[in-house]
Amino acid sequence: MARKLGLRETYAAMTRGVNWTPSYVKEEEAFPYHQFEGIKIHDWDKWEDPFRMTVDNYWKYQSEKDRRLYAVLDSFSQNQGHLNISDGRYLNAIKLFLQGVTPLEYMAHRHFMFIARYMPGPGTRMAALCQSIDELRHTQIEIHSMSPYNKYYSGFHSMRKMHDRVWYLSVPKSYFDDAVTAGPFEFLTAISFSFEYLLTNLLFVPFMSGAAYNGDLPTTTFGFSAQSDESRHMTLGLQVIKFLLEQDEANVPIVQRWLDKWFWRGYRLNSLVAAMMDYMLPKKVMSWKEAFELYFEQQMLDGLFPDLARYGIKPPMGVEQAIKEKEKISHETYWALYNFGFAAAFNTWIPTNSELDWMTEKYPATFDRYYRPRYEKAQKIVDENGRFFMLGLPQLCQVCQIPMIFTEPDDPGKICFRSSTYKAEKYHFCSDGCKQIFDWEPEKYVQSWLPVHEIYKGNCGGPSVPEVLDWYGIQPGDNGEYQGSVDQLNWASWHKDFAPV
Amino acid sequence: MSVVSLKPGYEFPARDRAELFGNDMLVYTHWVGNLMFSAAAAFRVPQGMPWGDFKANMLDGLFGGDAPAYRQLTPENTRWTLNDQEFSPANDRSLADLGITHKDLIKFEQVS
Repeated sequence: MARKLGLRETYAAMTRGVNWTPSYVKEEEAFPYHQFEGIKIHDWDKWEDPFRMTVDNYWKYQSEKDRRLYAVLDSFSQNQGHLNISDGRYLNAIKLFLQGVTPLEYMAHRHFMFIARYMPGPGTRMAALCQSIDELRHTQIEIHSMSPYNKYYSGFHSMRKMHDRVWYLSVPKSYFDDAVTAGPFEFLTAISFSFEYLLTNLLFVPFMSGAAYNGDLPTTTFGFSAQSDESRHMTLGLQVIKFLLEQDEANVPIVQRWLDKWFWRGYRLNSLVAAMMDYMLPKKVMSWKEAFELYFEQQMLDGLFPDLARYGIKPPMGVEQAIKEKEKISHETYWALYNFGFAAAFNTWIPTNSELDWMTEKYPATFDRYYRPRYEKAQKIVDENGRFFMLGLPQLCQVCQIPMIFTEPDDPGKICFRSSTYKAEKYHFCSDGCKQIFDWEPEKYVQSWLPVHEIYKGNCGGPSVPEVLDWYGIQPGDNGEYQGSVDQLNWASWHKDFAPV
Repeated sequence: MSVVSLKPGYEFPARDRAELFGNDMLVYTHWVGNLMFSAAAAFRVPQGMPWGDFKANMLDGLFGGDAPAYRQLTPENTRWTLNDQEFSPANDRSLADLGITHKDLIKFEQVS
């Protein structure tokens, strides 16, 4: 009987020496996309995948993880588990995740399948294939983990439609669209490295720890089910960068440019996560500022970048601004969500007094001086039976598509306005970083689908707010103030017999 | 070498170019120093609209949302800029006459 191959040998058998030279098409017809970005690869066999994943092992691990997850989901639904979360407000974080992140998993699935087909190196193709299937599994298990809430809470329906249409969801959508319309190596730098390595702990950990702290069993269990996949993706992200840098010195300036761009794009996207962490979790995990210091400043700036310096790679553009902004972005972003909450597919609210005090403690340099007065003023309006909204549409940044809400790095009282003129048209940006990204590739960003401008061009259902909300797929109760909302009233009635805590 | 890999000839018309708005245009307005309004507001307005109508029909409605602060503004204590240049609006002149063009940024601020 033939000897069974070990893991290392199986991996080698599937990823080495399996290419052939095509005879009836040219090489560049079979693999047309890997050269136009200027990246030079001399030896694809230098691709080292530390996980050495093979298909038979992959199925075995994943099916076991799925079995465990679905057992938990069944039990959660049967036992009315939704009553055990910390507070009804919490689920707004999960609505944001489902609307904003889950569709990105699906896009990642699609594009890693593209990479798995078009990269000439078999090792790279195998890693991309596994990740593509991971991303499809994540899409499915996120939907299945979060759908038990759809029966009881607003805002969980129509996430796919909302992702393509709603203003704040154009932020994550445009990030990914930017990546998949780039070349394959830029895509890998954008998604595998910037998104899955550099910033993943800032995106993923807050949501999953937030779920655990707030009694959200399905999302926590999903997080555990995805965790080993995510660590494989992180390793792939680092491997991509090191492989490119080691293959040819000419790759270094190209990779540096992509790092500059994709750090800033990813960091801007994370401002939604910052708002979620500081404002939407009734039981806080840590502040955005603390998370940024731990996961970015310590792990990346002090850990990763000194290691990349030997290739000639510098920390990315905008790092200094990001460090200054850690005192501000969660507050500026949530305030915008509160301002335009009439058009969001989740609820917003004024933080409780103890939450405001928590922010004072976590943000001593800025909170009481700049942000608390806004909530006090908004509370006064609530006390007079009103609700403060900004009843109009905001100016958007042409690159990150976030409303132009961010302030000058050194002045939290002054909005940062930047602009460029390209072919006699003006463009506006929230920061030096977004302006620089535009100036590098204006041909790309003049095509941005900016939700506010699309409304004004008549492409979003009609000129009035109800018509636009209808076109967004937002139903009454999904949007607006939390206090007095369908979710809040239901939560109160379901818990009225509970012992006070 | 270049680090931009766009194909030569990669060129598309700007998605929000002025001509698509016909006789209208987009204008942004920001209240400096009042961050109750988290961002500048975007409006679609006829180029021929008199400034007085623009202010009464668009700005007053939106920024009046912070009524106590908005009531304190008078023509005397309000400083206006257009693309960060000093700017003196006049109620009976049209936005186009005042030099406002597509995607311009107007700011106002209480100075005393």
